[in-house]
Amino acid sequence: MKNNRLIKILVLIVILVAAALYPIVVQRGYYQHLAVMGCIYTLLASSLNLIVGYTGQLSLGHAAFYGVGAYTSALLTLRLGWPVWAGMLGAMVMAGVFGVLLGTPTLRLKGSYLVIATLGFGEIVRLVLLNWMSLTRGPMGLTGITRLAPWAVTKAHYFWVYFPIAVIVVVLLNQLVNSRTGRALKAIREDQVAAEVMGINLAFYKVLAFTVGAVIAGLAGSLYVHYVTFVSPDSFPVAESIQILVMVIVGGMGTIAGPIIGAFGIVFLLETMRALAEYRMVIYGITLFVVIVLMPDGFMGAVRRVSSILLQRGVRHAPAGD
Amino acid sequence: MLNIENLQVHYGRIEALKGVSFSLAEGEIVTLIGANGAGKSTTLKTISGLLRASAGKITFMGRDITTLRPSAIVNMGIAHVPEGRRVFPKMTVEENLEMGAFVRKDQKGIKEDMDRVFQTFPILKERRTQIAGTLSGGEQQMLAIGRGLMTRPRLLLLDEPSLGLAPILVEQIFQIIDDIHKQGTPILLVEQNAYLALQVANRGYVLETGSVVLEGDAKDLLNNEHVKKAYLGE
Repeated sequence: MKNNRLIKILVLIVILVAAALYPIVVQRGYYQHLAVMGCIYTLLASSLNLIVGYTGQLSLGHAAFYGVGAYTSALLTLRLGWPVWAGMLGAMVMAGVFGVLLGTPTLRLKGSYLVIATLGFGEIVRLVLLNWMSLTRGPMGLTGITRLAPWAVTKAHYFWVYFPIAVIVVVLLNQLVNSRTGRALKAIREDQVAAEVMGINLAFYKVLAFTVGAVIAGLAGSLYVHYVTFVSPDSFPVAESIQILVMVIVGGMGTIAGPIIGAFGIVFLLETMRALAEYRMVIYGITLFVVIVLMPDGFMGAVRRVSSILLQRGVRHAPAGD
Repeated sequence: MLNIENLQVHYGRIEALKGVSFSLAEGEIVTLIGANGAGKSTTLKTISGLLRASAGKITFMGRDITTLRPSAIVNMGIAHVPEGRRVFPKMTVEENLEMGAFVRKDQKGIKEDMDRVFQTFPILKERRTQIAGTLSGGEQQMLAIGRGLMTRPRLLLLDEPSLGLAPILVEQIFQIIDDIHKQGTPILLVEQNAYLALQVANRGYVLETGSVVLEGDAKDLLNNEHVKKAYLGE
C-alpha cells in the first residue's frame, strides 16, 4: 500500500515538472496554445464530471455555465473596469447562481427528461447572449477584453498561471469527492431511493453538485475570455456541452484523472487531425466510436481493468490474506 | 411508540391508502400483510417520509413526524430497509455499511455497530471488500438489513425482505429478523409471505386495497378463516 502511494506521488511530481517545462521545451506558440486550452477544458470536464460522473445527473447544459462565466468576467472588466481577479470571482458567483437556477427546478427530473431540461437551459442562455444586444452586442461579440495581466504576453505565461489553477481545482475536487459530501453524491448516483432512506438530503446534494460544477465552469469561462480577449455566443453552443461530456466519458466518468486525460487528449487529438482537412470530423467520430467500444468505462476504466488483472496475477502467487 | 392514524396517501388522483390506522409498541414486531397493491409499501414509504400523506397523522415517540423530511426521520431513529434491497451496487460491502451511518457522527459507535453487523452476518465480514453488486440476492438482503442497522435504529422498517430469495435463504432471513427483535429492536415488517411473517410477529394487520380489514394477535390471524383462505393458501 505504502509503496503504491509513493509511486503515485512520484508520478504526480514527474507530471507536474514535465508540465512546467513544457512551454520551454515546446517553443511553438501553437502547441502552447493547445496546452492552455487543455487547462481550460480540464476545468470544464472535471466540473461536469462532478455532476455527471459522481452524482449521476446527466447534463447537456454545461457550456451555459462556461458562457455565463465568460460574459460576466468580460462585462465586469470591460464595462465596470473591475480588475481581472474580481471579474473571475464575479464570474464564479454568477455561474454559481445559474447552477442553483438549473439545479433546483430539475430536482425531480431523471434520465432523459433531465437531459432535455439541461439542453433547453443551455439554449436559453445562448439565445439570451445572442439577442440581448445592449448588453452583449449579440453576434458581434465583445472585443478588446482585458488580458490576464500586463505581464502576460506569451502563451507560456498563460500556461504557467492556468496550469496551477487547474491543478488546485482538481486537488480540491479530489478532496470533495472523497469526503462525506462525496460519499453522499456517489450514493445518489448509485440509488436515489436508498440514498434518501439513509438520510441523505437529495435536494441539497444535487443542487450542491450543480452549483459547485457551475462555479468551476464559470471560472473556466473567465480564464478563457482573458486569454483570447474576445467572446461571442458562438463559443457556447450545445455542441460545446456535448464536447465536454465526451471528454468526461472518454476519459472515464467518476474518476479524477479521467476528465483531465479526456480534456488534453481530445484538444490535442482534434488539432493534430487538422491535416486531414474535411475528413477530420469523420475520423474523429470513428476514433470516438472505437474508443468507446473498446473502453466502455473510458480510459481510466480500461486502466483499472488492466491493473486489476495484473494485480490478481500477483495475488495468485502471494499467500492468501486475512 | 409508533402511531398511525387515519393515514391517506394519493398517487396523483389514485388513492393508495384510504385511512389506515395502526400502532406498534416498544419491543414488538408488527407485520402488515396483504396482496400486491394493498398499500403495504406505500405505508412504509410514508412513515419514512419518501411519500407525503394527504391526510392523517404519524406519531413516533410522541412526536408528530407526518411532514418531516426523510433525513430528519432517519435522525429520529427510524431505519427503512427498502423493497428490492437497493444496495449501492458499485460500493463495497463496507462502504455500503458506512453509508448506513451517514447521519451519525460518533465514530466509535459506528465502529461498534459495524462489528455487531459483522457478528450478525458473518458472510458480510468475509466479503467486506467485495463490490455489493456482485453479491448474491440473499447476501444483498443481509447487507440491506445490516445497512439499516447501521443507523442504530429505534425502529426498523423492513419491506419484503423475502422477495426473490430461495426458500432456504428466506428462512435464514426470518431467523435473523427474529434475532434482531430479540436484541431489542422493534420491527415493522411488510411481507407477502404471510405465513412466515405471522409466525415471527407479535401482532398483524391485514391490508386490502388501501384499508385495514383485519387486525389481531399474529397467532389468531394464523387461525383466522379469511387469512387462511386468502393468504395462507389453505
